[in-house]
Amino acid sequence: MEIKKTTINQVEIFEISGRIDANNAKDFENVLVQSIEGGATKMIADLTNLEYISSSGLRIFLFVAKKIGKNGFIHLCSLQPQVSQIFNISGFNNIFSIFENKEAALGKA
Amino acid sequence: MIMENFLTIPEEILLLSVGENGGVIPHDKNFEVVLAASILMDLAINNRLDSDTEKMILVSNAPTNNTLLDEALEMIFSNKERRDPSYWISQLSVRSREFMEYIVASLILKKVLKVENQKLLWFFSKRKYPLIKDKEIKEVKLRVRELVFSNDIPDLRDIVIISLLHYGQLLSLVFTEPEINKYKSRIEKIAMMDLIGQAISKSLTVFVSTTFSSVTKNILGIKSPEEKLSLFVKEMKEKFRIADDKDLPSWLRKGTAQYQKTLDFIKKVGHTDIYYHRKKDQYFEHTLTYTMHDFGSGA
Repeated sequence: MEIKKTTINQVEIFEISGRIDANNAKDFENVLVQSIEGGATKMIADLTNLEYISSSGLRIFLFVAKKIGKNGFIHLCSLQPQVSQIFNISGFNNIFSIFENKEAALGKA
Repeated sequence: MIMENFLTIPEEILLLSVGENGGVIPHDKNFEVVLAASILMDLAINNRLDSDTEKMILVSNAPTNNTLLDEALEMIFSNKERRDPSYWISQLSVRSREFMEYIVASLILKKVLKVENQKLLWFFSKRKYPLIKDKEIKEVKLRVRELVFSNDIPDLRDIVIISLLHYGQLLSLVFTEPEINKYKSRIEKIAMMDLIGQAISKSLTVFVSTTFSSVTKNILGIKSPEEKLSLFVKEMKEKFRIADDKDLPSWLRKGTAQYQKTLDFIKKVGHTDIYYHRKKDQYFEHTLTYTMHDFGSGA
C-alpha cells in the first residue's frame, strides 16, 4: 500500500494505491488519524489505484468517519468496480459520500 | 478503547442472556451457534482473522491472552485448509457448553457477575459494569439499544453484536417485537456493515433456519447408555451440521478412548445432558445453576 497526501483548499486528499488488508490496515489508520489529530476535518480518499480491500481495511474507514464525527467528513472517490462492490455490500454507500472522481468530491467539499 | 480490553464479544453476548435480576435465560440452539460465531468475530476484531467477499483469511495465531479465544485460535490454525466460517461455527458450537464455563468464570473474575446460592447474578445487583480506570462503560444491552434508536455511526464492536443477534435470530434478547419491527431497516443496515461480520453471521442462518427437535428426552428412559450416547451424537451432528464423523471432537467420535470415557460418564449420571471440558479433562452435567468450584481459577 502506498499513500500520497496533498492538500487543496484545506481538504486533505489521500491517494491510496495497492491493497488494504489486515497486514497494513493499522498503518493506514495511523496516517489518517495523524491528520485528524493535526486538525484535519475535511478529507478525501482517492481510491483510483486501490485494487483490494478486506474487512480490516473497511473498518478503518468506519473508524475514521466516526472519529471525524459531524464536524467534518471523509469523502471517497474513483472506486474501482471490485472495491465499489465491497462498499455496497457493506452498506458503506449509506455512510460515505462516494463520487466518480476527485473533482466531483472536491466540488462537494 | 477501554472496552476492547475489558470484555470480549462472547462475554457480552452471554451477558445478554443474563436476566435483569440475574438468572440465565435458557439457552437454545441458536444461542450456542451465536456464541460460537462471536468467538470468530472477536478473533477478527483482534486481527487474528480477516475476510473479503470470498473467504475467511487466517492472519496470525499470536496469543490474545484470553483463554477462550486462544483455544479457538489453536483449533482454527490446526486446520488451516478450512476457510469457511460455517465449518468453524460448527466446530466451536459443539464445545459451546464448555466455552460458556470459561466465559462465566471470566465475568466473575472481572466482577461483572457473581454466584450466590447457586444462582448467577449481576455483581452490582443490576445490569452494570464496574468502573474501568474510573470510567463508566455502558453495558451491552443499553449500548445496543441506544445505537439502534439513533443515527450514530456504530463502533465496530456494536456492529458485530447487532450482526450476530440479527442473523442469529436473537434480537428478542435486546428488543421487544414492536421495536424490532420499527427499527428493522436500521438493524439490517448496521448488521451488514462489517464484511467478516456478514460472512460469519450469514453462515449462522444455515444453522438457525433448520428446525431442530430433540428426540433425546423422549426416549432416554428406555434406552441403554450406548443407545443414549449414539442418539446424543446424532443430535449434535444434526444440530451443528456436522456431516463427517471425523469432524466430531474425540469425546463424541465412536472408536476413540475418549468416547469410551463419555459412555462411562453417561452410565454414571444416567442422561446425556453433559459436556466434556477439554482443558480440565473432566465431564460435567449441564445445569443452569452454578457452584463456585465449577470455575477454578477462572478463564
